Amino acid sequence: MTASVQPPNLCVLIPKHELGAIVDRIQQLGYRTIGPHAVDGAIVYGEIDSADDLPQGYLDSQDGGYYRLQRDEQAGMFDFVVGPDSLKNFVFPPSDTVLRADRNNGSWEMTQPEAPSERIAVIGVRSCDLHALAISDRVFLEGPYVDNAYEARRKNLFLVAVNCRRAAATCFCHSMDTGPAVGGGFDLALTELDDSFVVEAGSERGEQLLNDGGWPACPTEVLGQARAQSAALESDMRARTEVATSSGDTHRQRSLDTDDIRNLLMGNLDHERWEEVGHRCLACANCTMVCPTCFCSTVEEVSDLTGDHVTRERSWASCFTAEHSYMSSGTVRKSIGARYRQWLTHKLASWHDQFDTSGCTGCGRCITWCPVAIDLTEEVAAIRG
Amino acid sequence: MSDPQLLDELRQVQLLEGVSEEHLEHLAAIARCVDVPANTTILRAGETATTLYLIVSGRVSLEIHAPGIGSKRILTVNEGELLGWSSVMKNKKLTASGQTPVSTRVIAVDGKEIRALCEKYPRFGYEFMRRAVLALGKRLSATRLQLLDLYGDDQPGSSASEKSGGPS
Amino acid sequence: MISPSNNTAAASPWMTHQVRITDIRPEVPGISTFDLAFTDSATASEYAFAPGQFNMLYLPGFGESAISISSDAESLDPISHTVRVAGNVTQALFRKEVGDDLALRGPFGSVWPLKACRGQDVVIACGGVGLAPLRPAVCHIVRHRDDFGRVILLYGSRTPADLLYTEEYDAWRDADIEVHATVDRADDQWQGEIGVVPMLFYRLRLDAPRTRVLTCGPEIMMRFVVFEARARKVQKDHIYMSMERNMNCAVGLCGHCQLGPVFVCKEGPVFTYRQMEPFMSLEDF
Repeated sequence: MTASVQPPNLCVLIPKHELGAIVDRIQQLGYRTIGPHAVDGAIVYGEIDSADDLPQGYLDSQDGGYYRLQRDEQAGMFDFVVGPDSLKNFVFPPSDTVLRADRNNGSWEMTQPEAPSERIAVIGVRSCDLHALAISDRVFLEGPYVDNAYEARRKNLFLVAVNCRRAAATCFCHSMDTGPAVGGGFDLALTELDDSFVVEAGSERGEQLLNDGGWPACPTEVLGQARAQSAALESDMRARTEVATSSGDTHRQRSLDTDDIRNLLMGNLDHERWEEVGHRCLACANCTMVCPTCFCSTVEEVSDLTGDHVTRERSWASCFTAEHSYMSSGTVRKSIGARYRQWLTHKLASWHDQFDTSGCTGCGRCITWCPVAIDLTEEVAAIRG
Repeated sequence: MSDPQLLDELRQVQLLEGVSEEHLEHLAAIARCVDVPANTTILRAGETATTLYLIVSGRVSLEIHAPGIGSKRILTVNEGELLGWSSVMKNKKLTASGQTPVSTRVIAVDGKEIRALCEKYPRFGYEFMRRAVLALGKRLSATRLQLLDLYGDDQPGSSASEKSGGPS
Repeated sequence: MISPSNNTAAASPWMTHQVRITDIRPEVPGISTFDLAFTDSATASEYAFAPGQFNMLYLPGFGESAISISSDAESLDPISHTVRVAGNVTQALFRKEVGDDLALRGPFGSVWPLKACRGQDVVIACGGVGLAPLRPAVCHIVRHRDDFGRVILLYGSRTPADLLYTEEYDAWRDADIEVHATVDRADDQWQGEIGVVPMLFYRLRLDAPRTRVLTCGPEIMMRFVVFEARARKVQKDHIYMSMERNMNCAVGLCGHCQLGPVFVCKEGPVFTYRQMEPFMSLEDF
């Protein structure tokens, strides 16, 4: 079999200040541009008018139950890593109407809301979140029932990815094969260098945009430099998992041993660790809210005061609530340990049975945003024994 | 009923599956087949248990009498099941009465003779008691299920998937 | 079928269709059967279901409830749902009258393996309202009796007054189905069995290699039925259980009904014992 040579993605090199022109171009194409904002001590997604709104010079420090944002003049535009937000909000909003029912002359008329048509571009997406989006695509688009609203939103999403230059202590994308280097699934990908950005196209839309902009092609050695930067980060992450363990550094790099993890967890459903973690877990559901692949939802009736106009609202739900597994005979998963077990075995084990992939991208958010610093990499290690 | 037929009936009883031919013959020698007409009281609460029964066809309804509640039927014992198990011990009083709602065929064995047989042939004794334990264990387990009142207000079934909240 | 086929963007899984209540039959205390008909004839002509499936019945302002279909799949007029009153939605349904409207989407879920049961002996073991999702299977067997070997129905309820569909037992017996009913608590008139469904199973003599078991009812009851079936050496793949979990979307997207790796609304509610075995003895799963 002859190996086919892939032509390299269209790739340009722009001085840093030119990023603004790219943002403007995206807006001209009709996209509302969303990017990182430093708000209330965290990096979250918000609307940006121009590249000037992007937060320059911020660094984050993350660990179990710990997130701090600091100013650092030396830092680049994208040296912080992921905050609590992910792309989930844009394709699977926290609340969405799925049906309307209106009573006219005693009989109910059911209508579907119009397919969402807003075009949104998100700037600053990391590799782990691109993988999470690909996983969500499988969940919402590849089953026997397609979620039409998700499909419409997904088509209208323009993605400007960023290759991470730093990793938080809670990141373990290197264990999940989801980073740190961006692979595919983007429209444009940025790699930040000292004074410039390497901008790669990853789709027809991206190529079109770069072609229209007339920027100079990126020289091979600069592209090589960009690649090397990502590779160096990855080896650094791998090295720091080992170094840290022995030196007792609390900011050690997390990692996850995924060897036969599906069978490991499904074969240990009555391990005493579940009960133990159940004593620590508050069932606050933070992890499920920040997780970019969690997709559980609940549909509820919302009625106006007359009772003649009802909407069915789908909102985010969490398997950590008692309500989630409630039937008229009672709640199936009564103990918190049982619910934690459900979440973790779904995420890391039965997700494979359902979708042929892991449900985890190693973004580390669940570790950072857990108020009691439960670390799933530690839980799995404890079960592995 | 003649002996070969009785032996054959014994072979069919599920509870006695695996008992050796020799042991079945010992049992057949002290057993007799009885056809009990419908609506016959075959056991009386308060009396000494004398006879062990193996139900071949039909059924026996067990009843408990208590002052105030009268008589309550609590269980039917059916084909292949054991009745009057307390007769294998000496001087036990029956705690329930048994009546046949339909015509019923049983294999009856005198309690004293079964005890003597078990003493004489310890191996048979072991096999018999083991099966009695299994039968009673199953009955205990079934009684527990009955007590759980599975079909009460907590019953899951075809219509249990609702949220407890109404319109918000 | 109304439910959308694979990956068509056109049909939405949330779209629900207006139906009218054409009859309400109180069956036993707390359980009534609602006959529904689509008000739109085009929708009615497209709808079809197979035994074991369920519909999501929608009462605007109250919500949806997953209800098994309990009528004959080959005669879609009417589409019956035997419903036990439980929460807000079913309570609202029980306040409705003949001629009132509600909405329906479906059918959803996996089916009783009637094709696989052809030429086999079939034991149907159920309890309480669990007979309702099996009734379409019984209807099918009655229609195609020669396709099956020995057919036995074992059914239990709390008291004689709680036995469902008693008026049909003789017709089923006439169709050469052995019908055995039992109760947990007898009344003075009851002359039948008193005891639990697994004990009915215990005394069956079966030809295990050609026996299939269909069971539906409280999970504990099903567990003991399975135990008896396995003691008789019925194969794990030949025992089918209708499982239940909290259903919200019915299309495998909300996550509520997950049981290990499977979504009860999508891969179930009918599962083989082989599929369910790893989870049956776990608490809180």
